[in-house]
Amino acid sequence: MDPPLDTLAPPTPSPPAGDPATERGFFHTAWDFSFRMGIRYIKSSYKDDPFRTFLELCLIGFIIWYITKQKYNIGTNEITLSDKEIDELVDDWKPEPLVPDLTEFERETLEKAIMIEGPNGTKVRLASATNSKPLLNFASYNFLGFLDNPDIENHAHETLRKYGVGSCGPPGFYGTLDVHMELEKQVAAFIGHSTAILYSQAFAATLSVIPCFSKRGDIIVADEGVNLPIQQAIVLSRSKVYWYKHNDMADLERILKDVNKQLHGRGAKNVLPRKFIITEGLFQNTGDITPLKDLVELKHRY
Amino acid sequence: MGKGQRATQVYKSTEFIEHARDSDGLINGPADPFKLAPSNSSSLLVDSEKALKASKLSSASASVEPAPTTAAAATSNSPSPQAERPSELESVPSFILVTTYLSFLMLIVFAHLRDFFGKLLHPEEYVQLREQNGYAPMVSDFESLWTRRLYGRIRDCFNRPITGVAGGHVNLLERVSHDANATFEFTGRVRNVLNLASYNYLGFAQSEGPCADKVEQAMRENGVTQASTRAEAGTTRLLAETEDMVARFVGTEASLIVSMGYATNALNIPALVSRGCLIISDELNHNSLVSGARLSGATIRVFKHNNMQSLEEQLRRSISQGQPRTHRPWKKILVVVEGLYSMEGEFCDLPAIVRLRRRYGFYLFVDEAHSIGALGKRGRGVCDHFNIDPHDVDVLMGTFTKSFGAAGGYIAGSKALINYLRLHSHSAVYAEAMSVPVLAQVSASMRMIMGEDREHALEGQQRLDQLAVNARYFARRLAEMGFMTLGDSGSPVVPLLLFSPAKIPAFSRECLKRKIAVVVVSYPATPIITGRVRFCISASHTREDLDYALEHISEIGDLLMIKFHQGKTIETTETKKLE
Repeated sequence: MDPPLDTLAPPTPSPPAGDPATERGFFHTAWDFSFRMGIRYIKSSYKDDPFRTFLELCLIGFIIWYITKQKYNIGTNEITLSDKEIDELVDDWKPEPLVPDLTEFERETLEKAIMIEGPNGTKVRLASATNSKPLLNFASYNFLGFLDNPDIENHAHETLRKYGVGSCGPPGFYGTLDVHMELEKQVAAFIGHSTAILYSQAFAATLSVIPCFSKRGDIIVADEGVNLPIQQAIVLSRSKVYWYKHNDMADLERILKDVNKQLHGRGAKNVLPRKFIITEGLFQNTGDITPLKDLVELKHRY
Repeated sequence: MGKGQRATQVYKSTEFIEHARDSDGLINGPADPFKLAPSNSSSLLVDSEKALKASKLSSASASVEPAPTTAAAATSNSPSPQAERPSELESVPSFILVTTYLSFLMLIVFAHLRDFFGKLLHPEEYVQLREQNGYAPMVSDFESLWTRRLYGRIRDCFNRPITGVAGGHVNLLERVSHDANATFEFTGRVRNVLNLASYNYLGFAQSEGPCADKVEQAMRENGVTQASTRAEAGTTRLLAETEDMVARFVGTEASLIVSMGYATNALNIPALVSRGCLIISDELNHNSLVSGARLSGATIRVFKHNNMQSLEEQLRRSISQGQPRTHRPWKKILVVVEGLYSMEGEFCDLPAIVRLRRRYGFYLFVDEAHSIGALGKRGRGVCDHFNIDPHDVDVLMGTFTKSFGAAGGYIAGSKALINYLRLHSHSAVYAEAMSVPVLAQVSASMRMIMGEDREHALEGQQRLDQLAVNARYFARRLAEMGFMTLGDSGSPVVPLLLFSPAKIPAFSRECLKRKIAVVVVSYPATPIITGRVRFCISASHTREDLDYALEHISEIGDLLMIKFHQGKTIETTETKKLE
């Protein structure tokens, strides 16, 4: 019994060598061969599932479309220049002065800046020769009057004799003194939390803490009247920021509702971003106090 | 030649002279640390002939002149430090690199496994990493993986608390942990250890002495603090005088003092550049510079560390292309480099950068946090070291924490620049003025270094010399022992490569057992495979201290097998020189 012939056409006989029609025959054979391979592939992958073949055809169509699609470069719209042209551009380029000249107003402000002589306190003495009378000091932050306190000065002298002046290193590398740790404990106990961390400068504290926890993709809702360190820290953190009107709880509530609605709209698949409300206890620029009770209630609700 | 050999190259064969030293370890009388030994001395490598002749000439003059000129001759002999500098990783056996990568891989795999099983078996310990009641976790578990699992294992090597003054020796508060470094308990004992960790380059961290006396006097006259910002009521006569002194010290027209070193960069760079300007910074710049650059809103581009070709290429490309997409010319270009990179112990190539500045017209910002007071024959920093006019650098920034035993930073430049910054910089308008004792310390120590203090006229120069001698000696001996050190000769910061993550805490703990305090650094302060230990040499270290440390470091090096260059130093340097 002959084996069942497959449905392919019988192979065409290869033409005899030396025939001038060889080349045409060769291509003809190649085309025929690949055509037959294609048919055989389609038939073998068909497997009684028309959807599969449809899917494969779609995929092939997509590949062809993608390859032939018009491409454009996003990042590099650089113009190629020759070395001589670059040299000319370099010679031509004139930068702005590093700092602009001072305006008249700025110059006067500098000249009028006061210089204090001697210790700062409730009464200060200016260094200019004409005014040697002590003046009442409404300019320094001396809320509890500690600047005039002699006990603090004595304690400072003792500390100098025990520890020197500088810590000679960041806190990570042998710069943590026992006094630092004690102060941290006392600050924490004073405020009512469990731990505290110290920074050398108030501006830098804000600038470090806010970007540490709030990163790109997180949400900050801040009062419009916050001071500059907080504003700079928010810029540095690259989070999405919403501003609410100064001390206006209704505005804050509206914004919180909006933010939550947007987050729910995006679906539960996304990672929940951190949300922060930033405000000041006593505003540096306006002197108001934030309504903390209402704020905390809103925080818990949203 | 590789970076590891740098420490030996400039240092010609010399021998040390034992001087009479006082209790602080400082030399009494004029110091003459450099005296050339005969050229067939076998203890050190001999340089190429030209360098040797040059050094012989300088030594002939040096034997007559006092120490500072010899120190200067030694420093100015060194060719431009970054002439040809193959990567230091080429000289490390690849076995070390492979094992380091494998160690990190193993650590990370274990960390993930522990997290995974921990969340299954002990979910209550991971509560703060989970969402609860609609509150997102404060730190995501992936971000804190490093902090919890890898850094947590070696936490006892960092943040070690001390008491008293951090001078040549320091008192450590001993602490133990019973729960794998999660919490620490103080045993109550205080250990006095040799301090190779603090930035105390000139030894001014003292609680007694002329500087401390001046500080006390200043506090009595001026109170403790100003409690106000500069622009409001913080400017005092003491502050104005100190600013003038800083300007004189550095060699510029005026200066501005800021109460915190980090904030000096972060708050003043935004005042100089803004949107539409370009900042080109070295890839290994300090975090404060990066912060300041990001806050300013300018475009930031980076060039390869200390690579002048990369900088020039970046400059040419940026100037010719202009701003991205609009191709408008840049308003200003600010190139930001550091004088002494503390993790590498290298200087920037300031002469080359100044040449580029004349050609391309950018503004130069040099952060001399570590180099002010520690480099140069008069201690005036990296400009002094390379004999460059400070007016060639537009903005000189520095800190007082390292060499002056105080805190805070300064910016020095032309009068116009400083006047502008006084009005427009955040630090002048919003940040507190420096407090009185710190100012007094800065003033007293600077006066001493400049030699203006009449009772202690020589002490400043002695400290500078002692630091130079100590630094070179230490680096040379380490290289001789076969350790792989980085950095340029004369740098008071000597990093030593450790590579493997297990050797990093091992080195620190072994040193502590032998009463030496060191600083170990790994990722993210350094690239992940080059973990290192960083020694900070001080003028308050005596020769005996350094010898004690070197002996123990050698023992530990044998124990941990980190002497990568042992037996190889001579061949590699010679073969490379012959090329």
